[in-house]
Amino acid sequence: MSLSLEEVRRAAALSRLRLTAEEEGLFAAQLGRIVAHIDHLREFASLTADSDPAPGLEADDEPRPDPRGELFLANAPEVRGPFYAVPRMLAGGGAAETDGPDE
Amino acid sequence: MSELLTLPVEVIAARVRGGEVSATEMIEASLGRIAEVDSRLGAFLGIEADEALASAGAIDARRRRGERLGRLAGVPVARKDNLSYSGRLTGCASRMLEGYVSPLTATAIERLVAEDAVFVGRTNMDEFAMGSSCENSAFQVTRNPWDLRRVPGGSSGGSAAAVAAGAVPLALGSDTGGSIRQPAAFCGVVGVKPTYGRVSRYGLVAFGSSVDQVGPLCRDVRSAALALEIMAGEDPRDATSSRIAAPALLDEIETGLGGMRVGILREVPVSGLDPAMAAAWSAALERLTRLGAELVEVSVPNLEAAIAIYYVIANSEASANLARFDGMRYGRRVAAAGLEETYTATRTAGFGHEVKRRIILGSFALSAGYYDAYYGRARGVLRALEQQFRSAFASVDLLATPTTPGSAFALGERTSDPLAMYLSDIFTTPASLAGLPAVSIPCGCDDTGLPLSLQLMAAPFAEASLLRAARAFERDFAWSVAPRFRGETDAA
Repeated sequence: MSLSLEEVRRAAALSRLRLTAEEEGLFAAQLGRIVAHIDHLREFASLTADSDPAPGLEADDEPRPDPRGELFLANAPEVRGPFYAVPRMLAGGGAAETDGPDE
Repeated sequence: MSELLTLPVEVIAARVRGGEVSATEMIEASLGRIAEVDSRLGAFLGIEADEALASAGAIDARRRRGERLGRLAGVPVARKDNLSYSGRLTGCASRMLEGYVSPLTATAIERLVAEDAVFVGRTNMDEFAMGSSCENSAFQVTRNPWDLRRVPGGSSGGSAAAVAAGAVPLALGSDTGGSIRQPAAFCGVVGVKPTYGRVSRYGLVAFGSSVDQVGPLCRDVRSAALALEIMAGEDPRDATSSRIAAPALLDEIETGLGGMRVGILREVPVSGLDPAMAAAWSAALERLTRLGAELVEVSVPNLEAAIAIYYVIANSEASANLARFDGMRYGRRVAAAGLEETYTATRTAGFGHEVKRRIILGSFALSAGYYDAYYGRARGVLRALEQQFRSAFASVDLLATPTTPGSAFALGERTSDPLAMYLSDIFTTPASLAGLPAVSIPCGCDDTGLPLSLQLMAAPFAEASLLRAARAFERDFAWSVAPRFRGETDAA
């Protein structure tokens, strides 16, 4: 069994991944075998899936300053002032062009 | 190799506290052993010698001033490359996070450091913890110190190889479907996956959040127990960490396993094991009986569904967790025309094949039209599996299985067949899915001298019983972690 190329392309697009034609063929065959194995789940007992999740520890939802802010920003590919800078979202943005707030 | 590095961690710490050896000497011994063996093993992605020697110097200075030192004073420790340490590289063995310096420290690390453990470096792993052989690292292959032509297991293969080779007496790993226990088995060391929620996941780069756990790899059970005792406990920074008090494990694990009922699963037929593992498994059961355990056959019918459940649940969670790697906040960015294209170009260049395969599988299982048939069904079969485990633990204290069907396989043997690679985790994924604590301990070797291991599982939060049995087995079996680095010429 294999997944169709169209199914692989769709899942790759959802994953924001671009595959070469060779990768599409390889993944279709490999994922097809894996999905065929997963299809055996039909043969096993099943219970109604999760009701309420177990209660976890919840922190107070209160904003507070984090002195590590600069450390987090230090890992960003591009920053502008105290913000992450990202490429333009709408048409008209060029490669590597960013549109951040004024400092 | 310094014999100090082969001692249980509590003995090392006692000697440092007593001034018989300094923390600096311990760290120098560890760094020396890494320099001696790691060009052959490839266990480490980075050595933090300056930081480690500075920490050791500070510990020694405190001892000279008469200050109290912690329970891990001067113990050299390695961390898997997916555990954050503030100010140090943390890369998950991925090009995606090359150069990433963590702004935070994992709670597990923080607690060990508070007891004066010293971290010496970060170990190789399968990229983002996705793999069972350490061959999916973006940077290097790690070799098994018992036979350099074999895999060390994965994904915590670097940590297991580092401990087995005597480079560090304690290493941290993470276990999502067996990633501590399987490499521990292949490298002949002890590996513990705690109950889900027992150890905080804060600072662990997420893969499958409902199954990820941090745990220790060591040469002996007491060392693992001590590390777990220190790391365990509630953490307000991890909403899934448990409020159940951390156990005083060292006080409880020396009383033997007399009177314990150990369940043997009907769903684990000896016919499915490699012959050497089948023989070691039979011998392990005989040993458990001789030590006073009562063996009881039990059934967990959905055990055989575990791999399929695991690859749906874990990869669905991975597809969501790894969505954060898009080139905006950390890691690499590949410039392209506009935001969407930059996401895609960055992720396509940054992730390796196995990570892409799993993200795509997860996206497929969660996508419209397939969600009920895959994710929904897997959750339902998992619920039944959890109930079956609860029923089993109503009549037994522990469950026993081999950790793996056989010994470490050859490098490259399974890289072209992902399903075959996944199926090698058949015995380790069930405890992950059900959130059970489990330990892998050596129980024999095959005819080439490669280690084979026994896995014990317990009910949630029953780590004391689990490690009591493991300690009794270890005392009786008297395994020696003495890898011989076979295949040196062929591996070069």
